[in-house]
Amino acid sequence: MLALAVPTQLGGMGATIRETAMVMRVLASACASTALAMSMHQHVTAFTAWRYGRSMPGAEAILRGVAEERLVLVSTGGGDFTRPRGEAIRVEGGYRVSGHKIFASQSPVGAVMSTMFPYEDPEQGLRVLNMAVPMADGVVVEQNWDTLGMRGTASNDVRISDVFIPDERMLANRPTASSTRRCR
Amino acid sequence: MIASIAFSIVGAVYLGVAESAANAAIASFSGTPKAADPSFQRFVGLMHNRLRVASWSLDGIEVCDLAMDVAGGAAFFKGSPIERAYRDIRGIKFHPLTVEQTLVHAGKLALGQPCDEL
Repeated sequence: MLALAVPTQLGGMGATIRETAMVMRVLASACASTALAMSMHQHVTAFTAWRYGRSMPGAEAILRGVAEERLVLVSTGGGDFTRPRGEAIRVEGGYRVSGHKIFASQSPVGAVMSTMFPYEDPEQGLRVLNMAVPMADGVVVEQNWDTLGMRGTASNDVRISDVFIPDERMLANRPTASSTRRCR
Repeated sequence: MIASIAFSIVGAVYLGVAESAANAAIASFSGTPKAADPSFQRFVGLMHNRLRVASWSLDGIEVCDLAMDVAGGAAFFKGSPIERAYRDIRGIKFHPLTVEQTLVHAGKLALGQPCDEL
């Protein structure tokens, strides 16, 4: 199941985005929490497969990790997508990042977290950087997921403290809502 | 691109939750005398109608609310799949985009306006 959307040539099942969505729909009819937590892994995997299809850096290593080592990917939520929390500081060969992330489904068992940080680029202005952060030193998962619903997703808060992320772990670099608010 | 991939895969989860609640509500009455009652039939019809339009929107919440109404008191108990769906579906409000953002985004797409800032 973890390798559902990983391309077949990398050892996965090669499901399309539509097929992946249909599997999540069926899974959700049996257990909503299982499906929601799994969907957070799947959407990161599917995006990484899309990047792999365009020969973008770092994608193959993540997909192989999912297929061969059964890595569980974590993504973060709340307002993170449009207005990410935290900060990224440019250093030699990468960034140092810190931040308090919420709605990190299955964070207690995750291996790598796909998350976003705001970055003030000297030339391009305010950017959103999407990075793959290993759930290792400098990353602490809190045990605060006690909610009305989706209780089985373990979507705990995660605190990232001054972790170095090399350039090859960058997943995307895009403009923010404020920097392109006037539709060109 | 990142948005369209994530929203379709995560949105499918909530569609599945709404479907299971509606199916559980219908299953509890199929073949019973109540299933022949026109006012009850209309209630079930409304729920089914809402399910058909529910995908990435708050309609899933309405489907689960209707499922609890259709199923009646038994669905209020812990252990009922409808009780669980009624709670779980409410997570939909906390995913991007919000309903308002979704409407603006859909309008932009329809008008051919740039949508990069997602």
